Amino acid sequence: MIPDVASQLPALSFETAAPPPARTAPAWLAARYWALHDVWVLTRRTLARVITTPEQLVNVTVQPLILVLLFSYVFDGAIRLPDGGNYREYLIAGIFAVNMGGTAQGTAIGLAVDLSTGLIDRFRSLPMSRATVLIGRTLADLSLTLVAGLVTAMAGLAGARRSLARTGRPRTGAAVRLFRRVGRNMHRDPGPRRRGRPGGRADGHPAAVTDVERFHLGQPDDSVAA
Amino acid sequence: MRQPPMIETCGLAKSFGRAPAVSGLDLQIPAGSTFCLLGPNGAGKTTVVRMLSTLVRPDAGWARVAGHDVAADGAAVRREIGLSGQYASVDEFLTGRANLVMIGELCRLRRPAARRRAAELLAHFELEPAADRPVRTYSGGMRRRLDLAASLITRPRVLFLDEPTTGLDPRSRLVMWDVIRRLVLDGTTLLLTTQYLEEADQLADVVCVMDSGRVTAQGTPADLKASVGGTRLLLSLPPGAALGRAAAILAPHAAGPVRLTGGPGRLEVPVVPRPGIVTDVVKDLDAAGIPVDDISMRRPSLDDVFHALTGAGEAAA
Ligand SMILES: Nc1ncnc2c1ncn2[C@@H]1O[C@H](COP(=O)(O)OP(=O)(O)O)[C@@H](O)[C@H]1O
Ligand SMILES: [Mg+2]
Repeated sequence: MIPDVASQLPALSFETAAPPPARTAPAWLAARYWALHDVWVLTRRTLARVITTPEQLVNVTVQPLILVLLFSYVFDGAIRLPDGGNYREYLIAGIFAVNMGGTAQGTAIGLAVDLSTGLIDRFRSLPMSRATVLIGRTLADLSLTLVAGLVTAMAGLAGARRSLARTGRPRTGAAVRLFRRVGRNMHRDPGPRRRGRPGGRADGHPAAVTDVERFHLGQPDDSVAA
Repeated sequence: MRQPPMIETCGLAKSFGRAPAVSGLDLQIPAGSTFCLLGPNGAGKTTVVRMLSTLVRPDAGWARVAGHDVAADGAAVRREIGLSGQYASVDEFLTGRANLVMIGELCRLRRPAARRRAAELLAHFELEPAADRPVRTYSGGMRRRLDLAASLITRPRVLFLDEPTTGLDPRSRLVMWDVIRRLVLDGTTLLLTTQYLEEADQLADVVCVMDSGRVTAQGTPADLKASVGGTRLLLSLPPGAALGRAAAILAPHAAGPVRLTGGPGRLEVPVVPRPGIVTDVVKDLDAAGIPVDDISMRRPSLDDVFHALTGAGEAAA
């Protein structure tokens, strides 16, 4: 009744058991070599996960793009600098910072998961250098941050070229128009033509305050209908 | 000359905050044997395993694994051991093969050697068809086997398995037992923890029953069973039957006092097993006009040991 699985298994052969590490190098050098080796193995581990689950790349590709679009087109009219400078000049640097924060958060969450699933225990019970668990993970996440930075920079450059080519109203694709509409519902942007000098509206209320109130009250939006 | 034990502890203790998780543990586990820590949740089994595998430092006492002190020479201990923790600790997002190759490389195998070793272990644990799928698509049993494979990458002389079959379905459990038996044949010293008496009975040379961080009994499964007495005959009589008269009739057959147990009309008779004993008992009761609803022979199990030790059996009686 009990399936005799073990007897059908091929014998365990140990021809490939660990060879002793070469003892020719001095001990401190060997220790450093192995520490670097372990970091490299663990960095590859985190990157290999991206291959089996490419969804992880959403964080570093789609998300920065969305942030750039969102803050340059949708929220554009709502945010004014106190000294009248161009808000877009600060935009890309800000999104870089958000990306960095996001990846650091990813690193922390990833480590917490490794801790709770016992993977860290497994690493710590291996004859490897213990600090490399942290370093490997950080390096891999850093390389993902680079991807995010690259995407952000490209989006920023593309946007800048377009604003240079047509000073005035940016050419907006369907997606951007959608964003604009959503954005107008949210903060009642007075519209692209009046961008740059938004102020109080006809009813005399300061725009920002009323916008927030209207949004929360969910009142119908007449500016879209207009 | 007598070989020194592969695992030896003396007065080993660990507390978290003020509550002691393990106190004053003395163990001697000879090389090549299977030793089982048996206990309910929170007994301190995992804490013992974590101390012996250098993951936490003992507060008091000492422990040697394969001749190396766990506190003073952790790196040497880690070269000798394999650990398969309570929760299968493999990377869910990597394939089974990638997991094993990664562990192999971390154990300082060169990449080609790590690949060969991974292939051997995948074949051995019948994981080849799933080898190149991410682990999160594996069943619980497959995950457990992969985890075990990962702890066998370098041939460890000492293997710690913390609750290797908890949460597995009965078939996967049987498969796992066979895999474990097979390992022991290779001469690996095995320290196993479990909550299941049957598992301890099936796999262990020596069983150590733990409760609240202390050892409550230790011995071979046979010794432990003998300590709670021999074979018993359990009888169930219909409601209203003359229990006193029945007990008197049963007394000549019994090897000890006849006891009332559990529910109404149930009798427990310690007996020395001999051919025809059940027939004789039923005949005598029938002759006295006492009907019998149910009758069964009960050989002692580790369950009885466990209940005797934790007092659960007494409470029911
Ligand atoms: N890291 C920890 N921090 C605090 N308490 C712990 C920790 N690990 C274990 N304990 C406590 O120690 C006791 C023994 O736990 P454990 O060794 O995990 O038992 P078992 O593995 O037998 O279920 C429990 O009461 C548990 O709550
Ligand atoms: Mg446990």
